[in-house]
Order: sequence, then structure tokens, then C-alpha cells
Amino acid sequence: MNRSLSFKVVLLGEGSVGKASFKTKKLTFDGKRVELAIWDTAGQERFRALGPLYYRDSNGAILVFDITDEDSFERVKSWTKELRRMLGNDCILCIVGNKIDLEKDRHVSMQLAEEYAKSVGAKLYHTSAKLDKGVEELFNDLAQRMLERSPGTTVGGGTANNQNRSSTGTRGGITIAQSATGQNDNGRSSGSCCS
Amino acid sequence: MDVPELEHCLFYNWLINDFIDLYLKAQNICSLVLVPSSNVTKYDYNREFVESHLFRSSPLFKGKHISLNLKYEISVEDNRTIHIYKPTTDKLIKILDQENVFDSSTQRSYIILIIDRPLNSTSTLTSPITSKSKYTFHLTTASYETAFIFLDALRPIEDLFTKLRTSLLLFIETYVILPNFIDDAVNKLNHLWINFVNEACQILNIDSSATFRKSPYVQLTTRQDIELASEIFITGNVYTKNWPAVITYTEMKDDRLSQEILKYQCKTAIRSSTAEATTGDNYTPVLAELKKLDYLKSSFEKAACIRSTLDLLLATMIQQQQQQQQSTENGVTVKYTKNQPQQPIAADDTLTSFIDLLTQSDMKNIVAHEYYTITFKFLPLPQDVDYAVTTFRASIEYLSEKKFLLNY
Repeated sequence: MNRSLSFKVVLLGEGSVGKASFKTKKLTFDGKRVELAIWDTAGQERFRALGPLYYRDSNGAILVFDITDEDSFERVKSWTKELRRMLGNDCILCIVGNKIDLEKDRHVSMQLAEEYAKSVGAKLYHTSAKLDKGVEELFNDLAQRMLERSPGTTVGGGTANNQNRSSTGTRGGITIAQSATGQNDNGRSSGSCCS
Repeated sequence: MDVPELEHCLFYNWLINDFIDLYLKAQNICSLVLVPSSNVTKYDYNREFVESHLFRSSPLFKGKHISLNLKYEISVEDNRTIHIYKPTTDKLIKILDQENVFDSSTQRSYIILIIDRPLNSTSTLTSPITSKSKYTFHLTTASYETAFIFLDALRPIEDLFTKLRTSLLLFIETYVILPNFIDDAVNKLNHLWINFVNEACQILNIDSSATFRKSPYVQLTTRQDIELASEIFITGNVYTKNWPAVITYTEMKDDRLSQEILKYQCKTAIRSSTAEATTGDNYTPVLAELKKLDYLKSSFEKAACIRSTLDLLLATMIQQQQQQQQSTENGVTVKYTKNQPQQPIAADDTLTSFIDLLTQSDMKNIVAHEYYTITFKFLPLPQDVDYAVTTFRASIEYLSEKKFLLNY
């Protein structure tokens, strides 16, 4: 009942789509408190090699493309490959077609995006950050999917942390003994974010 | 004032552990859950007290909320204070923090407000908030000194703490750290940490149910408090022993980074004839914050310092953004209103600015700080701190790997 789970979610998209560097989002599912730590990654080509530093141990990824920009969809494909290579199939992928308020200028067909998402085991979402449409649903759905995927509560690598600061205490093969319940209760969150 | 974490609030623990039916009710019908952060005593441990802090929307008045036991009627004023209408009082309750909760099963939202004291508290708003318990360890004020004070105050583990200090003294006096075998030293310290945490939690009976805890130590102290405080204390205590080995180990990389920084500065200067875009007085406090790394002893303190540097950097960037929004037309400065939407700072901009910051820092041991921060720690970092440390690492890698020399 009192478990707080923290999931790491990386956000991939071009720098100018109005993402914040880091933020947290708190939700409750069936009495479980879930905290999404959303890590924005630098989308510019010159920072591409630095991506793995940010992706590591992510539970989920949100890959955003602009429905009016075909190139941005191609970049999503390339990120998807990289994420699958880095994190395997444990990471839950959400492909997001943003700017649905500009439907008349659409250059990426919905069918194409749908088919691609299906082919890589991802789910497609449609949003308009400008009109705040579909964003809440995206986070709620992602959180629920990550929760379903992680029956256990081990740290990172596709499973949930017990709040931000979990006590795996593993290093060099030595494991710290856990509490009677096998988990640390009363975990705490960072409480704030930098954006 | 430090905002306490929800899980550190006694009231919240009662609600989710001991009054589960009320907790479920809150999720199903309540609009507000008020969580007093202090002045809650064991005499408050009763159903009525808990019910008094769970509110549903008033069916009669918009913006007002009624407690489940109908004892209180309140409204939230400017997201800062709570005004109590019933029972009539001029007392105001201060809101310290807010958490919006969405429940997937009921598809409902409600709000948790951490308040400075219970609604039935007799103290006034002007009276000082009760001091932080010395039996809890706060992330926001975590340092080598506070870690020592916290562990030293736990009387039942006095002997254990003395034993730990003796072991650390022995480590300093007898252990030989070779720069290429730093991991061995980390493992040895990690072993000391694990034993200390396990034994301390056993002595304090920390893992048992909260309701059966008798002493204030185990009522308020959590395993995580012990873990973090002891990590900071252990790594901080032997810092003077470990740091020289770290500097030796990272010397070449630090030298290379210095050279790359010089190249970066040249390239930046060529690319834009004035490098003022990213320099200037605005960054002075940010640089000062970053340079604190040189004086901090434990890995966690260094990581927290990187986080606060990033915070300051973002604040400076936002300030610059606001200044740029003030456009001048025909000699008339147009000032945007406060309601002007704030553009969030994207990771690309954050990383670019952090890279610029490193190149201006004149610090000699940047790679050593990075290595120490990620090596001498036994606990995962909080996500927000981890993000900042990752940005720090990415900036170093960008410069060291000469990514800036490539043309995109």
C-alpha cells in the first residue's frame, strides 16, 4: 500500500519542442504512488554520442516526432534502434506524434507511424503540446505499462526503484541485507526538480 | 525552510499503514489530504484526528472543503495558506508542499498538501515551526558534518559508531591505496558501510512496524537515513586518504581535458567573434558553486553540489531568457507581463551551457571530481541529482572526445 515506485523515463526529441531538462511527475495507481523521473536528452546531432549516458537504466522512453516533419520521424527510427540496442526489450517505448493541432500540414501518415510503432513493439500516441492534448494520457498510460511490466521492485534496468533513493547497496558482489519485507519502506523523493 | 518528505511525516505513515480504510476513502472521495509535517504526537494517533485532515469538496460552497468527520471547513488561499472557517478561528495554516495525485483505478485526482502543523494546533502562524528532528537525516542538508551529528545522536548505536570510527582510522593509517586499485579501497569501505548499516538497523529495530516502535529513534529514523548518513560519513572521513590517489589516477585525463578546453575556447572565439554570449558576470555565482567541489569531502556532497550548480545555471538561463523577451521598439521597452509563458530550458541548451561553464571554470581536477563522485558511493543517487551528474559527465565527455571539433 505504501510503496512508492520511481521509474526513469528518457525523453527524446529535438531541442526546440519545449521540453524541460528534468522534471518529475507523480501519479497513483491502485493505491501505489508512482513517480516518473523524466530525463530530457539533448537531441542535436553533435550530442548524439552522449545519449547512452542518459539512457542507462531507463524504464521507459518517449520518442517525439513532429507530424509535419518527415525527418523528425526518421530520427525517431534511429533512436529506437539505439535504445533497443542499449536497453533491449525491457524498456517501454512510446512513439509520440506531436503537433496534431497542425493536422492539415501532416507529412507523416498515421498509418505509417502506426505500422512502424507496432513493428518495434512500441505504442503510438498523438499529442499537441501546444494545446495540452493527449499529454496526460500519454504519461498515465506509460506509467501503467511500466507498472505492469515490473512486478518486482529492483532498481533500474527495466524495473522500478523504491522511490528515488533505493537501497540496493550492491557493489563488488556484496549485497546489503534488506528489511524484513525485502524492501525499504519510507523511501523519499527528491522533492523538487530543476526546471 | 526545508520541506519534509511525505514519507517522513508521521501522519502520512499512520494514514497509509494504520488507517488503510481512510486512505482508500481519501482516494475515492476526497479532494484534499492535509498532511501535518510537525507537532504530531502519539496522543494524536486516533481515527478522529486522521479524519479531520481528509477533506471532500463542499457541496454548498465552491472552493471550500469539509473534513470527513464534518469537524472542519476550510479553503485554500493562493496555494500558500489554509483558512479555517469551521470552527471559527483566525488561525492560518501554512502550506509547505503540494503533490497532485492521479488514481488510475478510480480515474480521480486529489491533492496532498503538506502543512506546517495539524489543524487543531494551538500555536499561531507566527510561531516558529518546530525544529527538525535530530533523529531524521534530511537530503537537503546532508553533509559530512550533519551526517556525523545525526549518527552521533543515535545513542543505542554509540558503540557501533565508535567501532566504525576506529575501523576508518585503521584504514587511514594502514591501508595502502594504489591509484590503479582504487576499486579495492572502495570495496573495503563498502564492506564497512554494509556491516554498519545492517548492525545499526538491527540494534534500532528499524525494520519493524512503526506502530510497535517505542523509542523516538526508531519511530523517526529510517533505514535510508542510516544508509545515506553513514555513506557520507565513511567516504568523507577517509577523503584525505583517497583523494590523492584519485588525482593521480585521473591526472592524464585531466591534463587532456585542459588541453581540449583550450582548443574549445579558441574554436568558440573564432566561431563568434565575441564569446560574451556565454560568459559574463551572470555566471560568476554558478562558477563559484561549481568550485565548491574542491572543498567537499563525500561523493554525495559533490553530487549535490553539481545538482545545485545546474539549478543555478538554469536559473541564470531563465533570467537571460526573460531579459531577451524585453524587446525595445522605437526606444520604448516593451515588458512582458508575469503571465508570459516561460519557455522551458531544453537539454540541448542545458548541456551547451554546462560545457561552456566547465571551460570557464579553470578547475584543474574536473575529471577527478567526476571519477570520485561516481566511484565512492554505495547508494544510487536521487534521480534529479543523477540527472545533474550525468549532464556534468556528458559535458566532460563532449570536451574530452573533441566532439566540438566536428562540424554538424
